Amino acid sequence: MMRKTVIVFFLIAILLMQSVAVSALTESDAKQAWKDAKQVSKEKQEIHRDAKIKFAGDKSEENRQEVVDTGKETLHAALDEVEAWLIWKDLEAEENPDLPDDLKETISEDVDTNLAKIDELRTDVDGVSNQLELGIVFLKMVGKYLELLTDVARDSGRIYVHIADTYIDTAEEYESKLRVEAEKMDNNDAIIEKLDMAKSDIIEAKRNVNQAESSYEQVVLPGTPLIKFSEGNNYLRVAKTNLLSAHSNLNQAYNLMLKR
Amino acid sequence: MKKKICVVGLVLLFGLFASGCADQQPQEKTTQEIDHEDTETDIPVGTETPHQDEANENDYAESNVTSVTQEELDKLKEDIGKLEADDLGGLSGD
Repeated sequence: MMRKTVIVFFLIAILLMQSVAVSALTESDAKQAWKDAKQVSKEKQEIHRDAKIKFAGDKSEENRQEVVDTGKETLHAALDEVEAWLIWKDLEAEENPDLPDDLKETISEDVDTNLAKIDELRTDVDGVSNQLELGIVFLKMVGKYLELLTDVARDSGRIYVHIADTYIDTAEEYESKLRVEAEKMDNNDAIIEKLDMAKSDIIEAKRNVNQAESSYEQVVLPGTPLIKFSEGNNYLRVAKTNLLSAHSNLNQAYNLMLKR
Repeated sequence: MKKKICVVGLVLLFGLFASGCADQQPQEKTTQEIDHEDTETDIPVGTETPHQDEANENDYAESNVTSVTQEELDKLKEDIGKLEADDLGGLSGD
């Protein structure tokens, strides 16, 4: 009886420690975990590629088995990468107080749905015992990989657009306020010029964020979701450059006004 | 002996529970939050003396542009700088 009591206490303690560990995972930790998993996945793919090249040169049984083993490791690493990415995206949305609740809920649901699919796929990978099965599972995985990512990638794009829009709104607000003050000043040409440049940058940023949004909405299957996601990201990076330029001009206008 | 084990177990459970609650403390502000707090500018009160004129001019200029503050501009730059869009790795079927 004594022994049972002790065992029960330790089990409860272990369970509580696990829940504490999970709740301690922050968005930045999760992001780093994803980047690490992405790197591992890339390395495993290269190792598998090398194994196939080696097998092409020497079709020994040992090399054949290495192709199967490295192939399975590649698939597991890809699933680890996807899983880490989904967990990160979920936390990223959860920790952002500026996101609308419906967007957070959509992401949470899409993440849960796809995390469940990952477990099924792991079972498929574990069942592979030869090259033929590896090829079949690999083909299945390429398609499933896209399925796992598409919905949440599209959701992520919407988040990026939402966040970028808030920064654009803020920059516009500051430009407008500074302009009202500047127009009351004499000899304000230099200040107005800076504000005009800031306004131009903000307009350009808006255009690029709209382009990004259009690309993200095309992150669907059938189609080329990863390419569209990357395209959206590129537009967003340009919008970021526009916003930084806008900020620089606003700051210069502000400093000119302070010197008056 | 039995009592000691129960007490140790309860202490352990309580300690873990307390550390779990500590993790639920409100999150720090995220980098995406825009802080719109206005900063107050101190304007000297009382008789102005000649050597205070320059300081007062700067204060007047700053208070003249208090619709936007340097802190707000800095915060905006910091937030924009953290805007990241990460591409996803692919899975080649080769």
